[in-house]
Amino acid sequence: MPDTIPIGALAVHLPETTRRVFLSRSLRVVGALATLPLVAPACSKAPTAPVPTDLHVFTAGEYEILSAVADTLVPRGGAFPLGASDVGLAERIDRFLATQDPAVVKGLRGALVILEYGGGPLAGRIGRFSRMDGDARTAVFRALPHRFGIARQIYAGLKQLCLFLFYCTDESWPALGYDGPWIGREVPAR
Amino acid sequence: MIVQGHEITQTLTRKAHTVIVGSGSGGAVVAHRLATAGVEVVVLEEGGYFTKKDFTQREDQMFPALYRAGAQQMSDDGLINVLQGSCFGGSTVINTADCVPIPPEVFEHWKGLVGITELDVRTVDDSVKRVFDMLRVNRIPRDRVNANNAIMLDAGPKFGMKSGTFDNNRVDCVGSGYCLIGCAYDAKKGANLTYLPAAIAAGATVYTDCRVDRIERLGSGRLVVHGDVVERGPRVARHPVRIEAERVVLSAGTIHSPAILHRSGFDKGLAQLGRNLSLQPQMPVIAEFGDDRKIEMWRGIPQAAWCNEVDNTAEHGLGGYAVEGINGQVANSAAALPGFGLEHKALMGRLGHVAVALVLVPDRPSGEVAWEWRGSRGFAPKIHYRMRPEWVARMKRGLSRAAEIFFDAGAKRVSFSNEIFTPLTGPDQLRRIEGFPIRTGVARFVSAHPQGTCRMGLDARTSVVDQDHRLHTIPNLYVVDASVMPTTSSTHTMIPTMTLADRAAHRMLGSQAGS
Repeated sequence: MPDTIPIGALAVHLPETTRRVFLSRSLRVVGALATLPLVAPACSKAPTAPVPTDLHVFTAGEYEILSAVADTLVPRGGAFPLGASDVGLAERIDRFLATQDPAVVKGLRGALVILEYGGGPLAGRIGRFSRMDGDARTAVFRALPHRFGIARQIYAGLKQLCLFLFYCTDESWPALGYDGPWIGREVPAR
Repeated sequence: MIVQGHEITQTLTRKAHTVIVGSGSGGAVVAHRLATAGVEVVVLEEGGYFTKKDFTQREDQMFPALYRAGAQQMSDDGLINVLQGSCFGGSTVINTADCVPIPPEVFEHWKGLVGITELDVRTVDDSVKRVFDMLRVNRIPRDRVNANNAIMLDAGPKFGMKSGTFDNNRVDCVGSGYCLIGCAYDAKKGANLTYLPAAIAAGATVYTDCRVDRIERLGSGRLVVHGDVVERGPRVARHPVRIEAERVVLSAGTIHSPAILHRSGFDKGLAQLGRNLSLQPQMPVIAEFGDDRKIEMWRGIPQAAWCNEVDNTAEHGLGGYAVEGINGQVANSAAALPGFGLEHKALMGRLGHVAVALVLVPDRPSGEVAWEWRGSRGFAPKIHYRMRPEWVARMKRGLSRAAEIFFDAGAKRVSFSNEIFTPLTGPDQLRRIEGFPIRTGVARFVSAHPQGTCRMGLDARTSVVDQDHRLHTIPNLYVVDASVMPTTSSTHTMIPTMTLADRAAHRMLGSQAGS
């Protein structure tokens, strides 16, 4: 069965055969990575927010990876200060997925595992994605669209999910000049 | 009468003369015509019943509630997001309200391709008029075109292209801009506000949150529709549905009507079932203007103006390409814009100065649909579709022209829904579009007009239904939705589907009277 990564109004499939092939490759990568702490310099661990105790679909480990993804895709600073962690984006994603098709959640979980253990090597980096600093994570995401099919799909799925739900938040709208829904307000005169 | 799924507390068993599966542009029209003629009609709609008070104008709530698979239905290669409404009124609740009939060349093309002799502009003229009257179709006036769409409108004469404003089925539109997630002002006169209430007033019963899985043919020739009352949201089966009928009309849409036929075992002898799929792929084109140019594309009529270089002929039907303004709302836009991180934030911070258009390419029927049965969760469709070189070439011509239009209008940068194609910074770079990469996870297309999996034609070898929409192999089983289109019918499919549905219903009544 094809798994789907949810992305709001757009979505990306992880075809089952491709996913299996990639997972098998990834497991080999994971096996290799398991030896790395003995030989590689320690990567600096980015600060992470506390894991909520009432998660709906993710485990604590998956949530940590997702938080790192969200912070990478919507960092603080730049054109406006607000970032993913300011709106609790990972928690929002967890809540959003609670009402979605289980196949969607399954696909997303697979994507997070692949990214965590396979993302670094795809960008010439060492270590688990969630343990990388911001620059290294950004480098991973920059590399993914230039890699093979499943890597590109993971990029597109995670990116679109995070950006869609971040910009669904009321807090993000003032920076865009968007005044939000008209419901409950008087309709402006034309 | 409307019966919502949560009101059903046990197995739903009943009889009716005609059961219609789906309440969108096909099913709603047939329900109205039959019910007003005195036929006992039951409509089964998988999606929920929503009224204007339910349309919150929030994307994270409305896309999952109103769209098939929460707007996450994709082609199997992940390249094309196939959008379909799935609620009381179907896609007429979530479309951009554009009303474009089937062009005469398309009928001519169908005649040559599959031998359809009973469909042409003249024979459907009365149906078009009735549909236009019911939907209160009117031309969008120039003063209702927002800054985003005005760019397309103004470009037509400059570039020697045809252009204009759309006919639409809005009345007293307030210009909130949320057409894609349900009109909270009842301005968009979709089937939910027109055909379905009229059908109900004439005696039809509509059950929402009821998914049909298969149809059984009894020895007597009568049909039994089997399905489930589903829980709104996750759509998990709650109670069985069993309705026996003289006639069944499948209007579940291009992806799901053939799925039901397949699961019912009615694909035997119908080699074309699920094949000949057209998706009409569309690509967003994103133009950044200077700080002095306020666009605010999220307000006003989302898709009011078009310009095109269509090339419709009897030989190949719909051709060329169209460039149409579009408003994707802010979160949907954020997902479609290229990039991430600080660069993406910079673009979002300037979203009020960004214009977006869609380039639409009428394709040839070439895809196919298969299905996996998931028990209590129903079908998981597998939409197999690949872009062909001929329409990729037309797509690139359209992208180039759209970029040219935007630069002429003063845009500083033009980009696409593509992760590795760097933005164009001037018209001197248009040639780069020749190398536009079309790969999964890199480029993102949308399809709002899937058609063609139960093609109409003369025989079971080349088609699925006859010219009266009857399955070639079962005379009291009809298919009335966009799946019957032999090739892509129009650049917007609501009116073509309603037109054929109106005609089909009249033929059903004629046949009933004569039997």
